[in-house]
Amino acid sequence: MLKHNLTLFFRNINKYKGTFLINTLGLALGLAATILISIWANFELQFHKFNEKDSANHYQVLVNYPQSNTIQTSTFTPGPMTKAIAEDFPEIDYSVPVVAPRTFYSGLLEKEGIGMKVDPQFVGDGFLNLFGCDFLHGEKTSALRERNAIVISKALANGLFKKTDVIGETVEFKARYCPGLYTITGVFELPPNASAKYDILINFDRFLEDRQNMLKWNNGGVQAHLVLKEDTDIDAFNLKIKDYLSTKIEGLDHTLFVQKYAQRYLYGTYENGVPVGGRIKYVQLFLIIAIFIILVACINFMNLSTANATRRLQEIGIKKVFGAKRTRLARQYLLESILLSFFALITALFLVAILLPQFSQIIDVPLSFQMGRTEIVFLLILMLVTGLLAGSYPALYLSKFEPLKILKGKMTFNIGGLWVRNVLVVFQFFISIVLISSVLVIYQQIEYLQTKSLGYDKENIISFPIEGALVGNEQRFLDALKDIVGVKYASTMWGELPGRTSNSSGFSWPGQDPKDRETRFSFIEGGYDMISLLDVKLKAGRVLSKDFGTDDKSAIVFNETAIKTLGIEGDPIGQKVGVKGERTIVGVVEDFHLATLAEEIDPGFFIISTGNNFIVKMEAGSERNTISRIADIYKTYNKTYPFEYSFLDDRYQQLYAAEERVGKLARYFAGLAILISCLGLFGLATFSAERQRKEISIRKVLGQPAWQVATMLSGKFTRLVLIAILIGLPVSYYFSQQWLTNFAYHAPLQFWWFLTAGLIAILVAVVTVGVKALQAAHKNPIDGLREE
Amino acid sequence: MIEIKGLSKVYKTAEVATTALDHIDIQVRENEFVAIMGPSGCGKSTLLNILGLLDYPDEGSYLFLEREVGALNENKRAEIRKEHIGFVFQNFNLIDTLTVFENVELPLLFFKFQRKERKKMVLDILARMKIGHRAKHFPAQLSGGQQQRVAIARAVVSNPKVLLTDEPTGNLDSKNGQEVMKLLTQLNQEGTTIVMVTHSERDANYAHRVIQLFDGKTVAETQHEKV
Repeated sequence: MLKHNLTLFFRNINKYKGTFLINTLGLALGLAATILISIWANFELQFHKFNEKDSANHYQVLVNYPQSNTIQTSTFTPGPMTKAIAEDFPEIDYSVPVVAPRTFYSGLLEKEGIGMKVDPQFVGDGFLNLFGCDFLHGEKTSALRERNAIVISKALANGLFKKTDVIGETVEFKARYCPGLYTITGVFELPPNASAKYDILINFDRFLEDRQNMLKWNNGGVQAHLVLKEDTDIDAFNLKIKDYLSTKIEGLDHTLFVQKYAQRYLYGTYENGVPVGGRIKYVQLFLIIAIFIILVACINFMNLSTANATRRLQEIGIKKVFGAKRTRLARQYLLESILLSFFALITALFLVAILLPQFSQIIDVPLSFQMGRTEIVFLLILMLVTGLLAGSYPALYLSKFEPLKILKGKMTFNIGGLWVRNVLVVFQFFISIVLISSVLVIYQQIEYLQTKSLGYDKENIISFPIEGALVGNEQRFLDALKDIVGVKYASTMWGELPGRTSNSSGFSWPGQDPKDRETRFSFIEGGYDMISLLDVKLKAGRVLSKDFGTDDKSAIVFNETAIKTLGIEGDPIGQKVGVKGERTIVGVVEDFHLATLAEEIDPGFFIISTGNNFIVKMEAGSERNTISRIADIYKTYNKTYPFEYSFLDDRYQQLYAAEERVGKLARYFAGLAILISCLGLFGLATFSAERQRKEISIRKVLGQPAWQVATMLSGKFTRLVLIAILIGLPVSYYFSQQWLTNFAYHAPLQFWWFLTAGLIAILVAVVTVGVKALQAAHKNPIDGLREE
Repeated sequence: MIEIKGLSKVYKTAEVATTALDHIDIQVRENEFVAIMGPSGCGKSTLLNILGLLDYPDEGSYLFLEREVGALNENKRAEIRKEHIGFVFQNFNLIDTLTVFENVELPLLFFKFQRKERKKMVLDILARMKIGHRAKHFPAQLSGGQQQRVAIARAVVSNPKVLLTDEPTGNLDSKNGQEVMKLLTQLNQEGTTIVMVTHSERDANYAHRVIQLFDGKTVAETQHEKV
């Protein structure tokens, strides 16, 4: 029987090559999209899973601290906590403190005049075991035992020594914290599924020695990783540790909870102290898109198989007459769809091999695909599910035909079958329209994010860290910068824009409600020129200035939101507030966005302080020369340091990298969905033209012009696409609205975006069907009549 | 073998009801060769379809091998068709994507025969139908007579008890028609019961008994001397 079924399958392929190609290509495109998305989803799901033994019990401690109207969640715990908590709770097997890169300062690793910028990570014992660092050289278990031990990345080893086996070599670490000579005890390669990108590892105790204030319970910045004992009841454990910090600092209302570390990457967004998702939303979104694309491809198969049922009628009839039961026939058609799915899978694997590098580039993660046992099982399941899904309806449809009607030639293609086919076409285009609309909405929103006024000017501004010999020589360096033609303003500042460079609560002001004590302010601490440098518009009063002599200690400039938050009635200028000491409000500026436009504007202010970065505003048009001059001066201080700077507008763009990626992917997948849908529509149009050959011929003999015939032929398909548009647009509108609620500031939804999506769908469909219809309409009518 | 009593079939559309068979009684004995004749629309094919369990009667009883089969469900009907009934059609109904051998083999696939056994059965019947040399050809490569011989081979390859034939020579020239009738006669002589619907007096002469239908009723029965 199998041989018979295979024979029929291959002979039918040979006979109806066009249908086979459309079906295989459609399914292959759908499968390729699904495989690519699955590779990416799997990569994301593997994040933070390093060590098979301990990953299951690897948790990170998070701190919830109440704000005036919400609860903020942070990974920063007090310096002594990681060690203490492991001693106080028997559920903890061991704990690992980590001071992540960029928490404090980066530094320079130097060897014989060659220096490389490095982001250090300070880690406790057990880190190398828990985080599954791939060691190329050195002894993992003891590498970080000594105070002067350093473990460096393969890239650093190659950069400094031109080789990787550098165990025992001495290097100098130049940085604000923990500078000195270190002996290399290990060379690692960062696992691709690690989210923290560090260049060197140094013993955490060495860090504590250097930063004694971190031994106090009121200083944070350390991430606490715990490996809990098997069978620990997490809910009960969370309850136990909840108020642990208040036992160390009396009255502190910060609470603790643990979250599985493997989940932190995908579920890293918190609302009111509870994880509410994160990147997992994108993974889920694209898995859903993958399912829809496979569905769209399966619908092609269903539609073409049922439309082309006339080709199989005799076979079905005869088999039934000779005693074949419905189940036997259904099995045969399912086998055929699974076989087709197999061919599609092979094609899809070729497509994946070709497209994977580009796909990796778009989503900006290094993906690879190796065929292991799990992958083979996954592909087989995918193939079977696709085959069964695509073949289910045709199998039911074809196997239910009554043999008598077939043999009498009275087999009319019942309304039910046609109805289902129409619904499926509508569904295909519905999906395409929703995807096209999404692409347009995402594109418009990204445009909006990139072009919306932030309340400050981000153009032609660079920043770079204060490091090496620049530490302590900030003012001299700034004076030199200001002498460069092309430099408009130069200043120091804490942190880097965009982003909440500094934020804090616990401030006081006249008439303050006690609960407002927790109100968090975002602020810019830096030199006198910061307001002018950023071109933040002054609303009232004046900017901070050296001329007044005391502005560095006692002046503050608020933004408008802050003034509203403070509830100051009347003129705020001259009022006193308790912000890092008593300060007088000397000015009010217009609101400015420090964080992303996904978030509301914070109450904010400017105060004078030192900083850890230089920020320079340049004249437009001469940036290259200006930067080159800045670099020259920089080199006079830091000969071995590479001059690494970044543009503020570039960093701003990177804030929306995730949205850009989603936008790009949505564009490709929408294109794919419409391509597959059109393949199916082309197949149906071809079939329809074949079936109506006689009608076309008679119409033409009777004098109907070809364009009218073509309109008639394409009309029914166009109507289906129009129905899909009618259903798809409100649904798209709803989902777009939902997505845009993620942004505190978003582009207003425009009717024409949806109209464009509909027009694109209808245009593509009309062209697809129209080509076939015109072809059919231009045939010599005599041929059609003769063939009949 | 076949006994129908008071069997009726009415085709209904929204506007009109057409009585195809009107309370007819017919018996077919084992090894008999019965021809059913009558003008177009008299119900011959309807009767043959009901006998072949391809259609349901509206009224009356149908005993096949002493078992009431008129109201069986499709699966049970398929089982009886597979085990006991062979069909030959006017337009051959060969599957054009299968070779002669594969077409004839088709009914055997629904049994649990080994491949070797199937091959022998197919080659035997093709030889008997004098079409063995065409085993690897496709239907389109054969003449009408050859195609009908293949259709007969397919109908009898599983040794059914009854062979139902609907105008088996209707699409053939007289020479090929005669050859087909000789084959059917030979099969009947070897033990196959045959019920044949035909318009042709000459073909009907090969039968033992001719039943005349008119407007869905049996109007005459003629017994031939050969019985």
